[in-house]
Amino acid sequence: MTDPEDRRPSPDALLAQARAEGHGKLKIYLGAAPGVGKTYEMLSDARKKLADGVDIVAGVVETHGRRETLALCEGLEIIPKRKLGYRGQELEEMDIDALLARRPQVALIDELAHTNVDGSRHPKRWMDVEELLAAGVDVWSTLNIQHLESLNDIVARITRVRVRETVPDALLDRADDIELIDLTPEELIERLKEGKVYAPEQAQRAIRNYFAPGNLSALRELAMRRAADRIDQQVRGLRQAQGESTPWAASERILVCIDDRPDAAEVVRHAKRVADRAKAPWVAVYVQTARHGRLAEVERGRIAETLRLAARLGAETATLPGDRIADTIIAYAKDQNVTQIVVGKAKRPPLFEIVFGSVVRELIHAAETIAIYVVPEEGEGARKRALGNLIPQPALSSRAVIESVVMTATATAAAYPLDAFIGVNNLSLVFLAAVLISALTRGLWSGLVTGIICALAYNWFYTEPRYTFTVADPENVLAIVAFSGAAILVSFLASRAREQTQSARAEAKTSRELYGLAKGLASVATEDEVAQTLAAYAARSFDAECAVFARVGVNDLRLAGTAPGSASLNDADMAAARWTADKGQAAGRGSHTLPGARWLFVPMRTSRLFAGVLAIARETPLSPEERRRLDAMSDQAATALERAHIARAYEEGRIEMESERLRATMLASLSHDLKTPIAGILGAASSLRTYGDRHDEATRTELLAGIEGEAERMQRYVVKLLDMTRLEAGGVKTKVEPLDVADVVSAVLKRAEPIAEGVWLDGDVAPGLPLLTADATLLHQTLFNLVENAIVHGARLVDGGEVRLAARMQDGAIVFQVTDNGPGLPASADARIFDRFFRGDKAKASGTGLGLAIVKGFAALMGAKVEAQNRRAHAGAIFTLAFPETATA
Amino acid sequence: MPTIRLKALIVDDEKAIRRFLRSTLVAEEFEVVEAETIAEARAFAEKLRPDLVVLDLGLPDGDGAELIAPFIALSKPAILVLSALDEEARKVQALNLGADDFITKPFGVAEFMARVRVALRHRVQMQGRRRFMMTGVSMWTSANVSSASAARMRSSRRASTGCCISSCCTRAR
Repeated sequence: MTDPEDRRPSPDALLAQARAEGHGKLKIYLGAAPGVGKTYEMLSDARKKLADGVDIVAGVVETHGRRETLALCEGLEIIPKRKLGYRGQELEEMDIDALLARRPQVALIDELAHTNVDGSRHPKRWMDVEELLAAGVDVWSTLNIQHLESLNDIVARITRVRVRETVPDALLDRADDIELIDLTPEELIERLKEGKVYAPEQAQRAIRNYFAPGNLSALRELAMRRAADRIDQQVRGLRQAQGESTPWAASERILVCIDDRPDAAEVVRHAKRVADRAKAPWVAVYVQTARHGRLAEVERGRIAETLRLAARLGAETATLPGDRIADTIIAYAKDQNVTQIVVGKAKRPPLFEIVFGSVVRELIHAAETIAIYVVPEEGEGARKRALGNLIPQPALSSRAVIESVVMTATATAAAYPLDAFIGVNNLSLVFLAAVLISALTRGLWSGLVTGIICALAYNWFYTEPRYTFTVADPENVLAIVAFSGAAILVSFLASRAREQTQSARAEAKTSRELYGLAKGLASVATEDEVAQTLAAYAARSFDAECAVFARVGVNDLRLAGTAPGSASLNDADMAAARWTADKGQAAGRGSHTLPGARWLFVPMRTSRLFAGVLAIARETPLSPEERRRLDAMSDQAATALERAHIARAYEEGRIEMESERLRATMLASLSHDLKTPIAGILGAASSLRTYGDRHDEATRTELLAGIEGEAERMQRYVVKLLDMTRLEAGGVKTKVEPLDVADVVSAVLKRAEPIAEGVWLDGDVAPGLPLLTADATLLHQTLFNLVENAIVHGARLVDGGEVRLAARMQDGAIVFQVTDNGPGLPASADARIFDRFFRGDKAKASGTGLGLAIVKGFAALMGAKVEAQNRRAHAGAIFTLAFPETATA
Repeated sequence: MPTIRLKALIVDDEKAIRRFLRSTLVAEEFEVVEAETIAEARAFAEKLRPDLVVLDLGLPDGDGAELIAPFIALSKPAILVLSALDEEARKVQALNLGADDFITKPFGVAEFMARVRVALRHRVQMQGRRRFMMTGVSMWTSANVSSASAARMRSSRRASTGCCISSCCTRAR
C-alpha cells in the first residue's frame, strides 16, 4: 500500500504551505459565548510578546468598558479609528489603510465577525483581515462560535436567535492557530452576575435567554468540537506535507442541489457539514430549467447568493442548463463521480407531488448507487410558498382577460356553422383550439382563463338545454369535465413549449452576442481596439456604461476603451479598479468589496495572465444571468487582450532587435571610420619618425599632407556624429536669418574642394534669386553633406566625375539640386537611403552612413524637403532640397 | 653592382595607408607596387610576381582573403594581412588560407617592418622546409636584418626554385 512513490508530499499540500509562508499568520481566539475572556486573553498574550520586542499594534479592541480589559490596553499602540460620514452621522471604523501603512508584525483585530459601516472598503471585518494577511501582516483576532457560517442554523436552533454576522468557515480552517478560550457555563454565569460582562439589568435578561445554562453547554460543545476538528485538520495537513498518504482517499464526493427556496442556504450548510464529516470535496449545483425565466428577481438573486454562500463555504459551484432537474443532476453526478447527493425537501401536500412530481422522488428513483440525503424544510412559510411559486409570476392583466374573452367569442362563432354538421361533443375541439392558441401565445394564465371561459361558453351555447348553465345529459357533463381537463393540460403543455422557445431564444441571443463579440474581437489587433470593441459590445448588450482597463506593466491599469462616450470614473472608482487588478476579484456594485460603488469591476484574466479590468455601470444591478454573460464576455476579451499583448510584446521585441542591429552597425561604423584615419595618421607619423632621413623631400611632404587629410577626415566624421547625436536628442536650435544663396553655394563648394580629389565641382546659381530665410549653419552643413555624398558615392567612382550644386526658383520657392554623374542610386535603396548607417553598396563601405541621415534631419528642422532620384537622361543621381515658399524673404 | 630588390605589392583601398606603407617599404629598399582593388591586385600579381604582399581584407570589390590562394599559386610570396577589424575569425581564416602573418590597424612602421620580416622568414621556412631550413634560420635570426641580407636571401631562394614543386605539394596536403 505504501508505495514510496506515493509518499512524496502532494503538490497541493506543498503549495498551500508555500502560500501560507508568504502570507501573514492568523491566530483566532475562539470562544463559545461573549464574556468568556477572548479579548482579555488576546491582550495578555500581546503584552507578553510586546515585552519580547515583537512589534504589535492594535487595529481595533472592543473593551466593552470592562475594566480589566482596559487596563491591559495600556502601553499598547492603538491605531486610531477612521471616521466615516454616513447619512449625517459620524461613524467610526477600523482604519485598514493606516494599518497597512504601519505594517506591524502582528495586528490585533478584535471581533472578527463585525460588520463594517457602509462606505468602508469591505462590508465585513474578516475581509479586512484577509487583506492584512495577504499583505504579510500576522493577525490575532477573536471569534465566538455562533458567528461561524456553517453553524449558523444549529446555533439559531439552540438559542432561538438568528445571528446575522457570519464568518466563512474557510477563514477558521486557514487559521494557523486557534486558541480555545474555555469557561464552564457556571463560571460564565457567575461572571455575568458579577456584572463583568454586561450591565446588571442587561445581564439578568441575558441569563434568562441567551445565556441559559443549556444553551451555553451546547455552544461550548460546538466550540470544542470545532477546535478539535481543527487540530485534526492540522495533523492531517502535517501528514500530507510530510508525504503520508491521505487517511481518506478522495473517494467521497458530495453534491448539493440548490433551488430558489429560502431554506436553500440551510441545505447548503447541511451539505457543508456532511462534506466536512466525510472529509470530502463537494459541489453545489443549480439546474436552470425553463422555469428559471419565470422566477422573480428576488428568487434569482437568492439562487446566486446561495451559490456564492456555497463557494464561501468551500464548495465548487456549477449552474447546469437542463429540462428536468433530477435527470440533469444525476447525469452530472455520475460524470463527476459523486457519491452523495444532498437535497432539500419542501413540505408539500401529497396531491401536489402526485400532480407535479417531486424532484426528490425522481432523484431517489434514478440514483442507482448514489446515496440521497434529504434535508427537510423547516420553519413556517414553507407551505404558503409551495403553490404560489409553481405558478408563473406574471399575473393576469385585464388585457389578457379581454383577449381570452375575444378568443372564446371567436371560437363560439366558429362553432356556430359547424353545429349543424358535427356532434355537440366534437364542437369542444374548436374551443380546445382556442385554449391552445391562448396558451401558446400568451402563456399559462391566459390559457387557463380561456379554458374556463370556453367551458362556460360551451355549456351555455351548445349543451342541452341551450342558453342555460344547467346540463341535462350526463354524457354532456362528462364532455365538459373532459374538456376542462384537456384545457388545463393543453394550457400547461403549450405554455411550457412557449417558455422553452423563449428560453431558447434568450440563449440564442446570448450566444449571438458572444459570437458577435468574438467576431468583433477577431478582426482587431491592438489592445486599445480590443478594449474599445469589448466596451462597445458590453455597453450595447447591457444597456449600460462600460469602461475597459488594460494592464500596464505588472499590475497597473490604463483606461483603454469606454462606451458609450467617455466614462466618468472618480478616484474612488479607480481605487476599486486597482483593487480588482490587485486581487483578481470583482469589486464594486453587487460584489463583496466596495458594494456601494456605482461601477462593477470584473477582472479579465486568462489562465496565463491578468489582462485587465472590465467596468460596468447601470441604474439597475446586473441579474445573475447578466453577470454570467458579463463574465463570459470578459473571458473572451481577456483572451483577445492576451493575444494583443503578445503581439505588442513581439513588436517591441522586433523594434528592440532593430535598434540593437542599428547600434551594432553604428559601432562597426565607428570602429571602421575612426580607426582608418587613425591608422593613416599613425602610420605616416611613425614612418616620418623612423625613416625621416631616408625619405626624400617629396615623400615627407606627401606623408605630412596625408596626416593632415586624415585628421580632417576624422574631424568631419566627429562633427557628423555630434550632429546626429544632437538631432536625435532634439538639441539642435535653429537661428533663422536671411541668406544670400550664391554666398552659401560658393562657401559649400570651397569647403568641399579638399575632398574633391579630381572630381570637378561646379556651382550654378540662377540670377536674381531672393534671399533665403534659413539657419546658416544647418543649410551649409546640409548642402555640404549632399555634395560630399555626391563626390564620395557618385562622381569619384567614375572617370571625369562631376558634381554640380545648383540653386534656382521653382514654383515660387528656392530649390537646391546636387547632381553627379556617378553610377546613380542602387535600385533597392530609394526608401532607405536617408536612414542612419545605410550605405548604398556594401562593397563601397567608405563614408559614415550618417551624412544623408543628417541631411534628412536638418532639412526637417528647416522645414525643407529632401528627395533623391536618379537622373533620367544621364548616369548619376540628383538630390533635391526644396524650401517652402514661406522661406523666401 | 646592381642590388636585387625584393618586390612588394600593397593591396589596400585607403590611400593614406598605401602612402605610408609605400614610403616605408621604399625606404627599406623594396620595389613597391600599389593596388586598390582585387582586380588590380590580380593584374599586378601576374605581371610582377611579388615576393611580399601586404593585403587589406576589406576591399571595395570583395574580401581580400580570396586573393591569398591565387598569389601563392603564382609566386609564393610572403603574405602579411592588414585588417582594421580585430575579428578573430577573419584573421584565422586568412592564416588558414596561407597568409604568413597579420597586423591589426592602426600600427606603427616599426611593428609593420617587424611583421614583414616575420612573414618573409616564415615563407622561407615553409619553402625550404627540407633543404634550406638551416640556412634560413641562421640567416633570419641574425639581429639586424638589412636590405642587403634580404637580397642575399632572395638569391638563395631563387636558387631553390628547383625543389619548389615538392614543397608546393607539401602545402597542398
